[in-house]
Formats: sequence, structure tokens, C-alpha cells
Amino acid sequence: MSRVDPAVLILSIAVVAWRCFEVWKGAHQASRRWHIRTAVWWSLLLLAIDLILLVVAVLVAVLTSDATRAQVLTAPDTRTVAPLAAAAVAAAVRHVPWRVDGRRTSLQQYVLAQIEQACYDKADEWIYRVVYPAVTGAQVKPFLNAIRGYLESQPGAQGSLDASYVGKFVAPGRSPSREDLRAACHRMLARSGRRRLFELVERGMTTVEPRHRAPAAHSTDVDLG
Amino acid sequence: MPNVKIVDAMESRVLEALSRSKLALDATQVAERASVLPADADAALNSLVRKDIVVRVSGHRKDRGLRYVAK
Repeated sequence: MSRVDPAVLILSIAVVAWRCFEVWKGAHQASRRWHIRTAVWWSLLLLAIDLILLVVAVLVAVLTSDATRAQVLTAPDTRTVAPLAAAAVAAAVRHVPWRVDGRRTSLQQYVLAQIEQACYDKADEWIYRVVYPAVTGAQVKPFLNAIRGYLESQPGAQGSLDASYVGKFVAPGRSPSREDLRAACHRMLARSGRRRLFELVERGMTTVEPRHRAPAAHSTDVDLG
Repeated sequence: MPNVKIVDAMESRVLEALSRSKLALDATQVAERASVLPADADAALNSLVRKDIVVRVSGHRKDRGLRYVAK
């Protein structure tokens, strides 16, 4: 039985580190509405595919007899085949499309969608439990205006689109419903505004100004009265 | 004659948002993704269900509304 080749070991560690980063990046994006820890188990599932295949590949390399190794893995560049092959197979497993409920999806897309849904459900739970009792009646419009102010202050065209979306809820002559409130909260959460939304709910509408607002540009947008 | 089902602009937006998703969505999620008012999304979804273009998925948590999936 042979020992693990240092080159294989280093490459395996590099592959694991790269996969950890990639999985974290995907999970971070998918879980932007809520805590990233909501995504932990799904992220570990994605990572497990790489780890299992990598361990199998390295074990095969280690358990292969010296004679076979000498024949197959003599040149330095061929020693790294096992971890790279494992990474390639894992990528194929993650990205190969299959059918779920009649639509084509890959394991990666499915897991990221599950993370997004889990975070949506957690956020929804919080909105029902905390926002609905805290923001009622006459407070709804100012609250929505504050959300609109936050979204407007976000950089890029998306900020304007989001603000105009929430602006529809507070159009003159329209009284926003609970569903409007819920949709606005979700839009804010989707734009990484969780902490800001917590502040708005906790401190009450009379004391909070949108943090990143330009001083004069949106001076009439937020009605805190 | 092909079985063509006519959808209006609102239904089309809602259907597009629903089709892009990998999961069943509730009306608020659809409204947010299609950038339409939740009440409009709800009406469009009900209409699409009647036209047999969208499937209503029951069993959503508690009483938070049903989920929908495009056929």
C-alpha cells in the first residue's frame, strides 16, 4: 500500500478549497433574504458530492499497487489525474440536467432553488410574526415609503425599478393591503436589506431615516409623519 | 385546429415569472418576480388555473396561500 503523493494531496486540498468557495458563493447569493445558516445543509449536500468523489479518487490512487502505479502514474503530470478527474465528474453530476415535476433542472440549480425557497419561507415567517403585528393601519404607508426610500438609495438601475415597484403600493388614492406590505418586505429582503428592515420594524417609523439616502434627491419620498 | 389559449399581458408576465422558477411559487413570490401588484398576480394566477395553463399546488404551509406551478 502506498502513501498519498504530495502532489495529489496538495491538488486535492486546492480542489476542496475551490469548491468550498464556490458553494459558499452560490449559497450566499441564494440565501440573501435570510441567514446563510439556513443554507447550511443544502450547501453541505453540494460539497459532499465533491468530497466523496475526491476521497474515492484518492483512495483508488493510494490503494493501487506500486507496480500498477509505476506503470500508470509515472510521469509527474499524470499523478494529478485522480483529483482532477474527481472534480470533473463532480461538476458533471452537479450540472447534468434531469427532470423534476416535468421541467429540466440540474442538481446545482435545484439545491440553490431550495435554499432560496427555504430563506423565503423563513423571511415570510418573520413577516407574519413580527411585521404584521408591528405595522398596522396608518403606519403601513409610511413604512412602505421608508422601504421605497431604501430601495431608491441602492445603486444601479435595479434600485429604481424596485422603488417604482414599491411606489405602486403607495400610489395616491390606493390603500396598501397586507399582501402589498409583504411583497415590499420581500423585495427589500431580496436586496440585502434585512438589517435595515429589522431596524425599521424595531425602532418604529418615527425615528428612522433611510441610511444611504442622498440628502436632497429623495427629500419628498419618505413620509415619516 | 390547435388548442390555443389566449393570455392577456398581465397573465403573460405572471406566466413568464412562474416558468422561470424551478419551484412552485405563491402569489406574492410571483408578484414580486413579475413586478406586478399582489392582487393582480392573484387574479392572473386564478385565471391561468381556469385556463388550465397553471397548476394550483395545495399543501402550502399554514394558511399562507397556495402555490402555483406552470404546466
